[in-house]
Amino acid sequence: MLRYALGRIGQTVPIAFLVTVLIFLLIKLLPGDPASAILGDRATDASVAALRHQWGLDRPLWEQYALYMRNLATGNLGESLRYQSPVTELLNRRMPVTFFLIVYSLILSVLVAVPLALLAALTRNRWPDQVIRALMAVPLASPAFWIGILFLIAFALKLRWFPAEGYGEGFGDHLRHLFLPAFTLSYAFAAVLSRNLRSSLIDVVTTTYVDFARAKGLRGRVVLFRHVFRAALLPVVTLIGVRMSYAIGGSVVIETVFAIPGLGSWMVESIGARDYVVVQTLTLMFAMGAMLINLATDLVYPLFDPRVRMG
Amino acid sequence: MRVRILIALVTAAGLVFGLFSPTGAAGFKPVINFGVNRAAEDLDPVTQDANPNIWAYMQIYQELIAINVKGDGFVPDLATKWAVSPDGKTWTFTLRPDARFSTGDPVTSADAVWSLQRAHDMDGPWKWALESVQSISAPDAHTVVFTLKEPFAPFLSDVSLFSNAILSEKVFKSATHEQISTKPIGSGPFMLTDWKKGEELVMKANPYYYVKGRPRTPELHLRYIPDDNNRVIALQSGDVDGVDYPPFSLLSTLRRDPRIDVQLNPSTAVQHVLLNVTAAPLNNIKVREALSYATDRDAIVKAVCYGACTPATSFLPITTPLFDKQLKAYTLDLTKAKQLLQESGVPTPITLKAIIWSGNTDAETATTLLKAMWAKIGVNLQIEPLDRATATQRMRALDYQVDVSGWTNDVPDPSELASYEFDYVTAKSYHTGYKSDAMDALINKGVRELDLNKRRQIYYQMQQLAITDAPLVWLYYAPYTIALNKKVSGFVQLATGPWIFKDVAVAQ
Repeated sequence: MLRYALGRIGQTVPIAFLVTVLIFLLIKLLPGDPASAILGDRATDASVAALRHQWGLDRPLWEQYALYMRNLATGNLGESLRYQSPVTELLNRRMPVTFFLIVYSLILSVLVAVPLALLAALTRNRWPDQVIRALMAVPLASPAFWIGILFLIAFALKLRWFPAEGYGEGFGDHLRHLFLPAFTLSYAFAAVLSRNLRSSLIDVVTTTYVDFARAKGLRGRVVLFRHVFRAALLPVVTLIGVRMSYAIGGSVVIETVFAIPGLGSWMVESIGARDYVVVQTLTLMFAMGAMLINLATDLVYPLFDPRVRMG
Repeated sequence: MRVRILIALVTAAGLVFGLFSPTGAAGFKPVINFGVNRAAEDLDPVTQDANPNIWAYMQIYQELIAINVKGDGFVPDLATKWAVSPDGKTWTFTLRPDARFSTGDPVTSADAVWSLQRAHDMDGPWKWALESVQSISAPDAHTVVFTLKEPFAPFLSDVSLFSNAILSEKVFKSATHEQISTKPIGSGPFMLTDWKKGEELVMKANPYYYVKGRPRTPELHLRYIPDDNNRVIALQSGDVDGVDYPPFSLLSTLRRDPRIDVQLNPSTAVQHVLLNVTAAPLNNIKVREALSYATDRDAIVKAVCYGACTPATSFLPITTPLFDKQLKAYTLDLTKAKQLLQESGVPTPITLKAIIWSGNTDAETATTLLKAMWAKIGVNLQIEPLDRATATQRMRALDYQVDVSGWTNDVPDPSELASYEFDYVTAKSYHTGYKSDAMDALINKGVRELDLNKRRQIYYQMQQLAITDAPLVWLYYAPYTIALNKKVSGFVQLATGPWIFKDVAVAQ
């Protein structure tokens, strides 16, 4: 088990290095220059050139990369070109927001999906199952930004249950402010999750070891939760892992729609302003986030499926 | 009866507590929440050219004189009086004695000289505003004297520019650039107390502001809500008291909401199409004229602004002083356009590429309409949406053919736009590459002529010449849109754009 874990962790190091090279080159390949983007239409050519020099953008690429790596190694993430403030300062404020949003949306998805999937699987091909399956097809076909606006109109404007924008102060306030965005994020995922969990439950129910457990005389509930549910969760764990990475991307859209000061909306603005320093850091964080989630998924597998431990 | 007495007592107590509470007058909210479409990034008056920065720090800083609401004259600000010598080369400003920074220090002529000298020396977007100045001095604590290189007609309007804000010398003399950018300290109605970057600016009343009883509301929050729909919903649901730039498409919905007040404020905005005149076929004046004649401005106003804008006639925004109302402008004339295109000798169909900022829905709509309009005379307009940074860079490098863009004046004078749009040295003539000796001569005369009537004639000629040479296609003049909760009173927006919050009160 330890070997397995160490092996998995070791694999992430070269990938992380490759990611930094890729991010660096991709950003430099983008057309558009941060100095003229930040100084605006009315800047003189001389002041644009001076700013490029000050930021080291006129130096050779390899030199810029070496500097970037050196700073990264010493934990210096640099200063946002746009806000003239240390990236770490902004990161400290914004990272918890996005983390909160993603975890919140995940919890909401699970709360919605698991009971529905159980009900559907237990009433397979009868009317509750069919209603649930039909209903769950709707979210899959509606884009998040549009659903987000509809939720805003319904719950923020008409019913006034939730605020329309922002993050709030304090845990209770965060829960209230982030409910609509988290729900929007979880909406489509709950559908995917419930459909997957349903079919995976049905698969497991028809296996021989479940027949055996029943034949042993175990009670239905014990069979369901100890034998069926645990085995059925395996593909779902993968799905949640993939989804978490996907939610990082989804947060980009949702945070912009709901004016939430997280990493996603910051990313969009920084790309627009060619705030290289921030884009580099955030891309790296997103990539690392996705890698860590993958790693965590891999490490969790053995808990559900003993066969993975051998491999 | 007893119940009534109780009610009276409770009301009286409420009034007393309300009156003596430190958080605003009775019956009014202690905070103005205002939703803005772009976040402020840097509050250094001298180096920044984006409106969200300028309009934010204008709550904090003051200039010697301020632009009036209509955007065509001046009102006293830190200076109560100003006078010019008979030779037009020496300007003397008398500072008010009671102005103080939010630190409590008085605003002196030394602060003014230091700030103006910094604005004069810094190589930023507003360097032109003090280019005519030879020296700035302070003969006593309340007098500031400018000596000009030569008499300069737009001098007063240039001094009123926001980049000539007065900073505290004591605070900023040995400050880093970061400090000036992020921790402004001025003498205006508000002072910055907290800045969550990319989220909101929190300002509190400057206790030393010289106008007693102002600002009426002790706290101002400028909250960044980038999405148009969400900003409007935040207003309608009461999260914020007002928003800037509600989109034209939502104005009729907002007007139907009994709690909302929609304002269309006169602005100095002009939307136009830049043509790169340095390369074929747009170096051919007849092709450019043909495009101007083929443009149906009324249709664009209808589709883009839902009728709230005015078709453009001159290159100058309609509120600019010396705007020529009698100008013979381009109107839709397809026959003439086709004829001009034939005379030009350029074979049709002509293919042109237009760059626009993706996400700028107004520009997208206008360009789509232009594509259909120009197709009627055999011009095939291809639209290339780019993100802002790329579009700006391509425009600056003259690496484009057609660019849909817009302008707003910063000073109540036609000279700023005239030189930006037609002087090659200033900005390659708005990055169109246009060069004209006749125009250069008019630009030079325009800033040196002190007689108002003669000056008017110069700018009228300039507006006519611009139409003849047609380096741009002028589309329409747009108002600033603002939507407020009806409980908000006292809100003012200048024609040059900035909001004034000091008289704003929000009823409970």
